[in-house]
Amino acid sequence: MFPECGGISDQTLAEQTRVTGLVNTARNSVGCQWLQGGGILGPHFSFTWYRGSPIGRERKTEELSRASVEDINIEGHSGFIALGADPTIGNNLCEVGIQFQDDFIEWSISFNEQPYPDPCDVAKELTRQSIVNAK
Amino acid sequence: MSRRTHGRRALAGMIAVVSVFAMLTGCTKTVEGTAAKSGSGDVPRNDDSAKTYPNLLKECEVLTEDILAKTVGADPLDIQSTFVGAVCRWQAANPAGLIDITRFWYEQGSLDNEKKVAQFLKYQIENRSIAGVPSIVMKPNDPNGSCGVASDAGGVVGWWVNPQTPGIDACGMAIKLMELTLATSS
Repeated sequence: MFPECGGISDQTLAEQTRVTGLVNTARNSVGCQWLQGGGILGPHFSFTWYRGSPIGRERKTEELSRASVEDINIEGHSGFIALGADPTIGNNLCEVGIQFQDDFIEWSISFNEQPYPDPCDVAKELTRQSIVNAK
Repeated sequence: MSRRTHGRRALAGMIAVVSVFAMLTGCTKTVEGTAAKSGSGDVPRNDDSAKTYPNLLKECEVLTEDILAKTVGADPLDIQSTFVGAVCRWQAANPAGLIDITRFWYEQGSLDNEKKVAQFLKYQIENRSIAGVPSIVMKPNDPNGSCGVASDAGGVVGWWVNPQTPGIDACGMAIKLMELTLATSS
């Protein structure tokens, strides 16, 4: 079982992403979404817990739409890491999906303007913390 | 999977045009942008990815964005998809405040499992029938009154309505969305 938001606090998210003014706009049993000022114009960050949903389908969707999708293992659990690029600001998006039997979780990190930290470093670290927070 | 549309750029472009116009006309009034308005005006929506991968967004289209917007009291132009896949997210602008909508469809999930998770998260849970289908209504302890529903259909399907301001009937909206969903698939 994962706590709400994968157990990641608004403060931790702000520290990891180095974005200020984030609002948790969709906190519920599915996951959480953080948007700057609560609106869609800035960066997008989210945690999602898919229960009884195949990770393969999500990975396929990533493979059709992202620059690269590779295997990854975090804290002994396997999954994918997808990297996306924006034509003007570069590699700005990273999504990590990790499988747990019939479930998987996904962290999605998407920046919209420079400067920003490596989105895959952020996604991997938040995924690691969420796995540790699972009960 | 995050969905990034180009509404942001369209809006930025609109603001730039308005700003230039304001300068040309000698007006120094500040032009303010509103996040909720990104789909409004005469700027066409970017739907290139939807055209390239027609199946990619299909499962988020069980209800049209127009119906979603209307159900949560927003103008059909004031809704934007932010996330797609087995879980879909949108943000819509109700005149009282922004509302995030989440839809989930766990094909191999179950209503029992959703109930267990809701109990684990200490949500208030009410059993009820929606369009004749066994369902639960979930209420977290949220000052803005967020509310979710899950129904025993095709695995388990559900909707969450998360308002950013109090005083919005999120449960009524979530139940209505489920009624429309179950009507669609029957």
